Amino acid sequence: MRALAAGRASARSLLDRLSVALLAHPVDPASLAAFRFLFGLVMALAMIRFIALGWVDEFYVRPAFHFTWAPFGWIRPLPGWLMHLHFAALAVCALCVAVGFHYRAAAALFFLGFTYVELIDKATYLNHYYLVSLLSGLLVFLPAARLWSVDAWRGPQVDAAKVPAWTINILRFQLAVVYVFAGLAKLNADWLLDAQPLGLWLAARSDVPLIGTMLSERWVAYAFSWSGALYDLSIVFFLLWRRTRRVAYLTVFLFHMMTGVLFPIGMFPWIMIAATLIFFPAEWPRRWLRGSNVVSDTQPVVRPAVSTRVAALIAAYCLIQVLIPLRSHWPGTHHEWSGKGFNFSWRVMLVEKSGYVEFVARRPSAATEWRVPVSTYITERQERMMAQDPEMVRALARRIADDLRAQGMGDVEVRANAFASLNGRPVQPLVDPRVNLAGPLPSHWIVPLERDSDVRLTKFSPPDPAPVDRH
Amino acid sequence: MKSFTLPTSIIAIAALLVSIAAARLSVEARTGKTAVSKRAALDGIAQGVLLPSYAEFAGRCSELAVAVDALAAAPTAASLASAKQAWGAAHLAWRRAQTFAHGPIADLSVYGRIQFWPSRRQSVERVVRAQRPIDDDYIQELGAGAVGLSALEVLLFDARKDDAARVTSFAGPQGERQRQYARALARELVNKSQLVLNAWRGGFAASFAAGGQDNVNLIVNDVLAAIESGVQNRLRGIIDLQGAAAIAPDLIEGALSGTSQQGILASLVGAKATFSGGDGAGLDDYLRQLNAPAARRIEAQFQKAIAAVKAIDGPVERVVVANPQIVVRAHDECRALEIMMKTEVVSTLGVTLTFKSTDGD
Repeated sequence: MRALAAGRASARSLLDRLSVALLAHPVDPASLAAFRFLFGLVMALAMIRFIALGWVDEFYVRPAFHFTWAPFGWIRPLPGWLMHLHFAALAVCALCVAVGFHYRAAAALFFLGFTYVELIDKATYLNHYYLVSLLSGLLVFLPAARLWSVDAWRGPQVDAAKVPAWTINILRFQLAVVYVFAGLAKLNADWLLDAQPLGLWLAARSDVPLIGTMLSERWVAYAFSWSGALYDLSIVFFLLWRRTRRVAYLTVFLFHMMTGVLFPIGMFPWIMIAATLIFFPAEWPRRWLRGSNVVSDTQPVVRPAVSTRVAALIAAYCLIQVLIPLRSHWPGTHHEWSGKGFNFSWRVMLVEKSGYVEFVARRPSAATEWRVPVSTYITERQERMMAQDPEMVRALARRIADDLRAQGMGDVEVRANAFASLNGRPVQPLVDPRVNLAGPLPSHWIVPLERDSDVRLTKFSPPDPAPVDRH
Repeated sequence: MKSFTLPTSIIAIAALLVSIAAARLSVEARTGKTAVSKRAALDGIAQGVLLPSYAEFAGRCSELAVAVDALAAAPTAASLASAKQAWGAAHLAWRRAQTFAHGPIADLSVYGRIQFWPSRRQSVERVVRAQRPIDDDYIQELGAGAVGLSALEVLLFDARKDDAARVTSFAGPQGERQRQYARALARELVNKSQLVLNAWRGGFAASFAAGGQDNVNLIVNDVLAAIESGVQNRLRGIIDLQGAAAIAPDLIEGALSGTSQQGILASLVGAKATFSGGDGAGLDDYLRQLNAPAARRIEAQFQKAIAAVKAIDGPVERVVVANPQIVVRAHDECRALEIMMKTEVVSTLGVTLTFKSTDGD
């Protein structure tokens, strides 16, 4: 009994020490301030880039139909000029975050405004946009403007020599989740045994100067795939370990620069290069900025306290961040093929999928059917994204049916001839062409991914072409 | 019994995976593939297919002009037959060459003037009835519906006349205008085809390979356009029309000349050659290097589609009445080819699709 009690006490003591080290331990706010500045700056550039490339019109203004997310079907884009204004405002908010001017309000507005944009259309989903939403949401609650900010300069009362460790560790945790789950997702046959989709992507870059010819070599694809998986799985460990941190960050820099050059992944490399600096000791910016005073641990500081409520909220957030991507490792479905559990799971760079969809409306009462052009609803970009995702195919089918019903065709049914090819596999049907997507769906409406390519090849046969009534 | 520790198990699993990956890599290495770069593939297509296709078309146009001149000089059943034969050869040469709709043919605004379809019979008849002398200036001012191969087809193969009446329409003082018109049309075809050929020979073919991924995108999109618009939709249109009491020849490309099946086959063969670079290097070789099974499937599907179109064995508008299944099968094979191209080829070659005809339905 005494041993048990001693064990409990020892465990409790360890837990206390761990919680102090991870949550309450006072640390220099310098790295948090640097994170705020770099994140705000990159985001401001990203918003300006979005406007400059004409994406506001292309993604949000021009489409007549948007693929909304299930619980947020009520979200709609603003009218044209207001949408442009919205992005301009996001850029201003990001700059305010960078310089720490009305920091919390700016971070909150940026988080809400950016997340609103991301919820408008599923076709614009990118993992790093999701990461931006999460990081900006966290920033709202972090005291990142205590140092080197306009707020600190204008009101010394917000300045403080130390911040609790959780404010930095939660950012580290968030980035660790991205890397580790990205690594776990790469432990699959396509990635490890067939070096796909990297094999396709690298070979397509064979005209890159100097290294181009090498990129089309299959062994290079295997080397990239295996080292990419190992990198994602191990980089957090090496960033956390003091002895390897500098070299690890150098590889972060080189890795993301290389992926930025080879693949069209936009601002993602810059976000990760800036964000992973958070793994350095909290005072790293002071060492870089000669002349600034390094706050030593010997200086008298007020020990930041972490309440049980805050600790519980942090624990809940971390648990959610682990559970959400974990759902994509649930067996029973091919997540890259069906799209189920794929989003919000850090399944990064795993898919090369091209699809083809045509919608066929049918009126059983009039014994007629006809193909429905999609360009009145969606843009070419949306069409490309839809052709990869059964749920998006279904969403447009329902919209088409709604429109036809509004025209008095009460009994209309909408089917889709949808085909896709995943990671170099033979093309195969994506959804069952016999299923009326505008009605109740049977459980088998998504055609499972065939495992045997020879079977797929011989079984592939397009459905009978629909007789077309030319209206 | 010695139990496995976690690190030992991890190392064993990793070793197993490495072995499987290495085995797959060595199987690929043993297939003896020849490395074909993107540049070599594009160069093979430009020098091995596109340039020779334009040269053949220009040659056929010259032969057509000679035959039309002979018809105009002495309208007889024999000279008409010779002109019709020359028209057919030029038309099929064009259908094989027309897949790639970019480059000089687009820059010089020539594409629509070589062949515009559906043909505009009324526009052609208006020119025959008009008073203005027919010279090259007049031809230049005419719209695409009244020039090119389609306009010449109306003059040589008028469905409302038999051959004797067609010969008569070219003869005597009353046929003067039709003779002038036919000769001017053939002359313009020679000029335009030569213009395009000269541009290709003058450096475009040599520089084509340097276009990289942009030109791969153009080739794949144009091949898709040829398969979808030039082949599949043509067949689909005829299948849809089969219920009509009488299929109007003006609604079917090549129906006047009885070449609808040959034209569709030529388009498909031209599309395949444009993709594969003929016997030399092409995108099929490049595709094989990236994804050998996909390259085999595409080649097999091309062969199946060509065989299915060949099996129609006669003008499509006639065969569809007697044996609709054979036309439906050809359509389905071409559709399967289109879907494979739009998914497997697009995905493997990293192509951005810009062409789609579905909204034109």
